[in-house]
Amino acid sequence: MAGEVASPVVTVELTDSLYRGINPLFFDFEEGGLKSGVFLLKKNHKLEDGPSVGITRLISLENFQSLIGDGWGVGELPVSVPQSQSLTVHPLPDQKWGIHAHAHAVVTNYQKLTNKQIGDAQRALRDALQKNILVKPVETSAK
Amino acid sequence: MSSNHILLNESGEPPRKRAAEDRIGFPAWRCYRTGSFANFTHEVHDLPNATVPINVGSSAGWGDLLAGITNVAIGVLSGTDFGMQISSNKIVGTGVFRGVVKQNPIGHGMQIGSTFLEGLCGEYSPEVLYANPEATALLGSIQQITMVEPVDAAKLAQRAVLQEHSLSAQLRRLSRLEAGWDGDTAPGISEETRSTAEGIIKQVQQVALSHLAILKTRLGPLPDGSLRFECTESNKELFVTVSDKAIEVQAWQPLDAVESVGYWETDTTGVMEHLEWLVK
Repeated sequence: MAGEVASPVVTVELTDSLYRGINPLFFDFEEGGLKSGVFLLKKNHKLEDGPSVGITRLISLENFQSLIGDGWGVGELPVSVPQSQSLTVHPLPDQKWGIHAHAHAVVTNYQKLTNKQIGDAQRALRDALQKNILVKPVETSAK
Repeated sequence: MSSNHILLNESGEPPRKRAAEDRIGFPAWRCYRTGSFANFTHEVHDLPNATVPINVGSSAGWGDLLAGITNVAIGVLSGTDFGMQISSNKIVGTGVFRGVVKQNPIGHGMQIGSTFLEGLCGEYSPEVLYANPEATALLGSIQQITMVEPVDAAKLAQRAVLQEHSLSAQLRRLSRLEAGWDGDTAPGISEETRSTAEGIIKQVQQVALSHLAILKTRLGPLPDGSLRFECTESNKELFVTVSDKAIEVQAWQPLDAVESVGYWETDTTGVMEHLEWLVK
């Protein structure tokens, strides 16, 4: 149809990086560290329940920030980290992201893992994000 | 928390047996400041490890606390004229005497008012022990002497209490989270989850007091309505995830390990052994 632009086909490369929003509740303001709740992985999750991330190649930090909650922080981690935990980063356009919908992806494929492996993966993701916090969340009354 | 206990008792080795001339008369008290006392101290240090009870004067509310944080038995002796004040700790020397007991906090105030000593020199640093000479009498042989490494027990106890208060305050705040707190569909924290988490907080404090180690503990919510304690000590980390009465525990060692050393599903009673693993 005239005037309609097809959504680009997005593939996530091993060299890509991901933005992840950081709810202030997942940040330890006393010690300055992240809590593992920043990535919740549950065996009963559907694809769309997986942790949302932004593909840095396709969205700027400022635009990503505009899509997450007020006071939230932003961290960045390489795609290689979830992949090293047998997880995949699946592009999943989100219309709530407007013109940046194609930059949205979810971490998935953990449903097949054991509970122990899921815990290992959550911790590995937390540690990786901890290493590169770009925007520190703002402390709220219910930290 | 390492400690080096040294026990001497009446059937022990010669180093604690002082010459007869030292057993009589007040001058023996001054031996604390003599070179011979220093030698004695050295000999005491050479003895094997042992555990020693500590007895203290009456009306010692701090006694119970100290018992909880030093792994030593605290007994209160009656009928003794033994007034002392321990303003802090770093207890490095403890002497147990018949009817009277002394504790020797290095660098901190210890005052002995009217004190009777049944025996001779314990291991005491001369610069930190104060006694009224006229109130000192030597009435018998020493029973036990112990040495422990410096432990800032009062400060540790204070930190343990503060941590308990902090975690409890965090739990109260998290309990008030409303559904959707994650910006999505997260439920609030159930009363049962809150109650179970309270029990975990008590255990964290118990481990701190009994093992002389404050576990670095983070408490946070998970978007499925559960709560997670993330405890670290030395090169170990433990996740304790609470969902109603169900608890999942997962442990890592060393800290940079990706693969955990174990995963367990348990209840409140099963958590303590894992918390203690952190400090072993």
